[in-house]
Amino acid sequence: MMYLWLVRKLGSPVRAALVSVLVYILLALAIAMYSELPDHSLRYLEI
Amino acid sequence: MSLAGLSLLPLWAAFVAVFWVTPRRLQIHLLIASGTGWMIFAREAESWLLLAALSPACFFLAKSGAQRGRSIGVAGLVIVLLGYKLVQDYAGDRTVGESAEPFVLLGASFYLLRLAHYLIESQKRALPDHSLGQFLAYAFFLPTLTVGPINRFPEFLRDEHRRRWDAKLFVAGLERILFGHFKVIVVANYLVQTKLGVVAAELGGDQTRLGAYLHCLEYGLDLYFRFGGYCDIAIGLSALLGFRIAENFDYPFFRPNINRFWQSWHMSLSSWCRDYVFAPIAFSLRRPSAGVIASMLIFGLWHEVSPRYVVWGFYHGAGILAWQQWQRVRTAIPPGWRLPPAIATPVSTLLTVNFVILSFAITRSDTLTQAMAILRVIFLGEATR
Repeated sequence: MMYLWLVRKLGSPVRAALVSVLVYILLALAIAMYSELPDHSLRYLEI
Repeated sequence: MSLAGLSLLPLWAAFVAVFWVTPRRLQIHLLIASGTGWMIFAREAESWLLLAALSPACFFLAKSGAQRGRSIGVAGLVIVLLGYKLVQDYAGDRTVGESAEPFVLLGASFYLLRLAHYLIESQKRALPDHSLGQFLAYAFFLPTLTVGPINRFPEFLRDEHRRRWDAKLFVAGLERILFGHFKVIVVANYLVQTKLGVVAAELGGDQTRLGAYLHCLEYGLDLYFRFGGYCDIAIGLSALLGFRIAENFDYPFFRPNINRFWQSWHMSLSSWCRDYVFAPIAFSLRRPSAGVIASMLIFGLWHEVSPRYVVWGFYHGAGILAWQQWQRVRTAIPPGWRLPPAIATPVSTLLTVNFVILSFAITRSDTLTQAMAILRVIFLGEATR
């Protein structure tokens, strides 16, 4: 889990929580921005 | 509609909430009902019928204790899978409403291998004691039903016994779902297909060396991020229900040889092939090379029964055998003559990645002739006509 990895790297649970929340928000924003793109959802993956 | 689609997230949230407030003894029934419900909702009645007919049959065969019956069962599953692949690849599209769609039995390639694994393990008497409900919950387990990973029954049963609310696992599951959607939507759909695809097309597409190479790279990265993303979502959804599903990818493009690559790409299928194809053939014939070629052939034919996937299987099998030969040669080289690891590892990783990228010329083409034309462009610079 990213939070635990960040705690180990940054040495501070508060900083790790802030960074991980920020990363989650950025990822969610990016997903929202590009979710309208045609999804080449590869029906063949569900073979 | 894909099981991993963003629009289904509210439905998943509702299902997970209902799952955890349901009494524990009823939860496995909910798992069976969810798999059944999804197949009906997705209008996949044929696939549901097949799974609903085969899974109880496998259970009773496994419980019967008749070794011969189990062997016949495994052979039957292989024939069903082969027949399905042949119909899928050669019968053409079927008409759904007003449009033509390829014939797909939702998730059949995955659940048939799960059932075969179950029967083979029961033959070895390696399965823990379990009920029909537990086995059906495994067979109809919704998160992994359509795109894998091909999870194993003993691990599923272990989690079914030990499962309890675990906030840490739940949060890890949510994170994996977020990562999975990011891989599919942002990386695969946007960065790879839209951006890299455009760059490859602008460089001349399959008419120029770089364009053809980039198209192969685009295909491979798209497959990796899309499939890896779906697996992340499946693993994340399983975690929300308290199940730990084995990983399917482990940074395959950073592996220093083709053997390690296949230990980290579609790991649930490669380990299936290792346990049920490679090991029996290698041990019975006392020829590991035959096991390698056979398992890579089965790996290829699992995707599609066609000459190009036979060639693809041989290509990778030959790659693994060549690497094994190289290992023998390498040990004979005096240590002072060998490249230092700081140079050898990046060089071998680069060689491995390119060996794999070139194989995507085969899988992304419709025919072998087309694949050969792409490879001719990459190596000789001859444009396809």
